[in-house]
Amino acid sequence: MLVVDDAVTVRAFSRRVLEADGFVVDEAVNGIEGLERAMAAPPDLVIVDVNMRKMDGYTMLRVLRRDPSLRDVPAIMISTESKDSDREQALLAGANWYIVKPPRPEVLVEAARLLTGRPVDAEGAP
Amino acid sequence: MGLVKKKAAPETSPAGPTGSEAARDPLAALEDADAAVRRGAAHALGHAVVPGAEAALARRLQAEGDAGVREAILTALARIATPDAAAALVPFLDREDAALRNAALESLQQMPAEVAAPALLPLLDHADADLRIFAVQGLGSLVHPGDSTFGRADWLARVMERDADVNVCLAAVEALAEAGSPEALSSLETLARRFPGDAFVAFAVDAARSSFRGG
Repeated sequence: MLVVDDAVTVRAFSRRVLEADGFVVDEAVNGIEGLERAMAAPPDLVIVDVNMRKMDGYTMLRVLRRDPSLRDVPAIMISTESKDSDREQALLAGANWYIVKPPRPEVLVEAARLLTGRPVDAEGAP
Repeated sequence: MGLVKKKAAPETSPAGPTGSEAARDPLAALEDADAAVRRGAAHALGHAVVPGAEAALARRLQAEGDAGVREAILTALARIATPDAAAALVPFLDREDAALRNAALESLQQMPAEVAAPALLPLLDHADADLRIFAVQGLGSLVHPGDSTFGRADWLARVMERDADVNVCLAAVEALAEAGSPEALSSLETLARRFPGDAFVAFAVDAARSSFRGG
């Protein structure tokens, strides 16, 4: 999977949590780099921040959804912004899931499992 | 046959053929119907001292739909880099348009710290946490690590010790780790105590501590 975030701490945290659950994680620091990596090696899942330099997460997802080879890749949008309008904007851009920062490990793993078709713990906490 | 003096080639600017039109009256050209003329005007305003340019550029940016003109305006404001230019960019940090608010922040970050910091510091007290995050990110990336002119260590400590929103605090930790400001170590410890059950806070604080130790 591909984690796209300009915050090094978020990328490192996501990598640690998801790799501990068996996922293989690649990283990018903005939407442009995220698209380049996704086009080079289509991931099973992308986790995208909203506010990033050079290209924001909404724009990245919109471009992703226009690409025939990437339009079906599931996407989690992750953001500090928790208003309903932020969630709506994320879904309109092409996100399948929305997580408000700071990410809780069990929420991140559960969403990743759901969107990649892996079994989810019955209690909701893998 | 006498020599014919060769005519000098007309001066061209990087803005292209519309450059001369924009250069005559860039403030008026900024409102032209042709996007290329508006782009040329923004470019010209970024390369000249024109009274009122900052406000005119900001007004145009509010209404501008052309991506190229928007980019030229943001580049011009970053290049002008006056207190008025910095102040003109601040309202765009609050826009619904994520591309625009991020581009406005980038323009502020390109300005000298002594210009951008006074525009960003008041946002640390704004009621909207998202704006406080932008303020922290903007201030944290200004090219004056440890600069006492705007009390970097002080505001980082204040954010981590007092801001009620965990994401604002985490933005400060990120800025701290990037800048390597070990003087804020005690504020990091305070932050860890303020959000004891948060796995991400614990991770971020540990990562910042490690960066100070060089590992």
